[in-house]
Amino acid sequence: MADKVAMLIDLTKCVGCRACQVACKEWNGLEGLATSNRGTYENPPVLGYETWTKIEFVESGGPEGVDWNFFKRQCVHCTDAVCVEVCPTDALRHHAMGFVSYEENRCNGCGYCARFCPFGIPQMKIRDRLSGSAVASKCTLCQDRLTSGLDPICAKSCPSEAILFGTRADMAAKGEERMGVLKENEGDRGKVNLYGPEVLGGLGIMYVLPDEPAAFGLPDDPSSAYSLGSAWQGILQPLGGALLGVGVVTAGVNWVIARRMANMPERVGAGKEAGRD
Amino acid sequence: MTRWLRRFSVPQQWAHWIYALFFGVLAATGIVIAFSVAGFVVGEAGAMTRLFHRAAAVGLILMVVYYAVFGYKSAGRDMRLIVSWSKNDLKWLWRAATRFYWTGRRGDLPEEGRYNAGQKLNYLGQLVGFGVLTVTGLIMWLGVGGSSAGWFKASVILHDLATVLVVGLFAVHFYLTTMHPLTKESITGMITGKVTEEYAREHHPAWLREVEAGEAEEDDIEGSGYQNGRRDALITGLRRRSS
Repeated sequence: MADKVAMLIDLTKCVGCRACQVACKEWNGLEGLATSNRGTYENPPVLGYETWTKIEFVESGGPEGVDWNFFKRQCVHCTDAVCVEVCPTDALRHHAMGFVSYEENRCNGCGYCARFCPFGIPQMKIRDRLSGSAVASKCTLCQDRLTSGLDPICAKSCPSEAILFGTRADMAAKGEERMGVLKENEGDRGKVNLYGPEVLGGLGIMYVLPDEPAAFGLPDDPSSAYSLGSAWQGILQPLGGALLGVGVVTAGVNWVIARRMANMPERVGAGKEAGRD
Repeated sequence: MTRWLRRFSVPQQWAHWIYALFFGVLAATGIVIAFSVAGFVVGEAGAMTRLFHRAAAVGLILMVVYYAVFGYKSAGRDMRLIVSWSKNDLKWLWRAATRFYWTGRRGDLPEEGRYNAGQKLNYLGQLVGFGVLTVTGLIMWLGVGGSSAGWFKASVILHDLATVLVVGLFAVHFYLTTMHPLTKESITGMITGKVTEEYAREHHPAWLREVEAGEAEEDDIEGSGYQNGRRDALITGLRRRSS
């Protein structure tokens, strides 16, 4: 397990068939949702507790006409993962293979991961808002398959070879190679981007994008979200605990000092208390 | 026979101890969540801890609102007292902290009224903390799965900062009222509602003068022999423990 794994999602090759979406539900036993027609072939409308990945259809108009791009939304398995930092139960953890694992039975429903993730990935199933009963979920990169030596099911299911899986180094190299080809073919019309290797210590998911990252809702630099979460957990909370510890010790020292002094009334000459013993 | 003066009314004592009870539950459950004590935060146990935290929060908020509405007279008087600060208070704060409290040497303190500067700070701090914790807590409670991640993130951090404030104040308050040799006598004020004249003269001389002049409210220098006997036994016990 020396090499970390990664997935390279080449959206210039994606045909929007959504086989990955279906395969994900099937392998992970996620319930299919009854949705209604919203005037688009994109479905379901958003990620959810039962939807760990989905293909989004992204239309953008320009002088040369309309671009119709596809984007595969899912957990990007950050190296600097703020969800792991803020999770109080260790339901979310870094796996040695380089993905962010998730154990649902450890989750207590606090929702910190969902609110701190700069990609808006973890989804909460809120059973009861009043009692706070809830549970999170997200793509695990098929942790059960990976740890058994199999590739993620979405990669296996992709008919257009848009989803590649391998070591981080291999995937980054393949991404760069593909970028070279695309830039050559598309000339100055190409707005292609490779997203992932430089983001948050390196993402476990790299994207070859046919447009700017912002067109797909990807933040250029999500590091401030990570800094905030890790400062909260790594600085503020230990500091609070240390302060309490220092306070208790100080009180103990003070107790010894004050008690000795209070019991020596003749030397401090506190007149009316002198007789008390 | 010791002379006893009424310092807190019975409703005030109830308000204090109910606040203390809920505060204890909130602090305990909050601290195990903050420090991820596995047995209390993982899975179903964690869901239960969060539920207890919320139940206690509701109790504490309702208690504060109830006291503010039905005890508005004494609550209002206290509000006026804790926001009025004089040079005397600052002088007291410095001298008391460095001399009286730290070295345990009596005497030589500026005269303070019903609440001394330290008690004012404690009261103010708890109130500010209560406000921040309530608002941020409700945002975290109702904001799960909502769309305002920025508010949520600000709230968890402010919630922690306010916790450091109120738990810190509580630690000092607890120490001074139950352990510090020169001040632990004050606990009688919350247990029996009364303090000894001796205590009042040393810690709140200006208040004692007001009481004697009949200006202060809740002046009540009496008591059945039985009640006073029990109070005397309590204070004797407290004083014996300190030596």
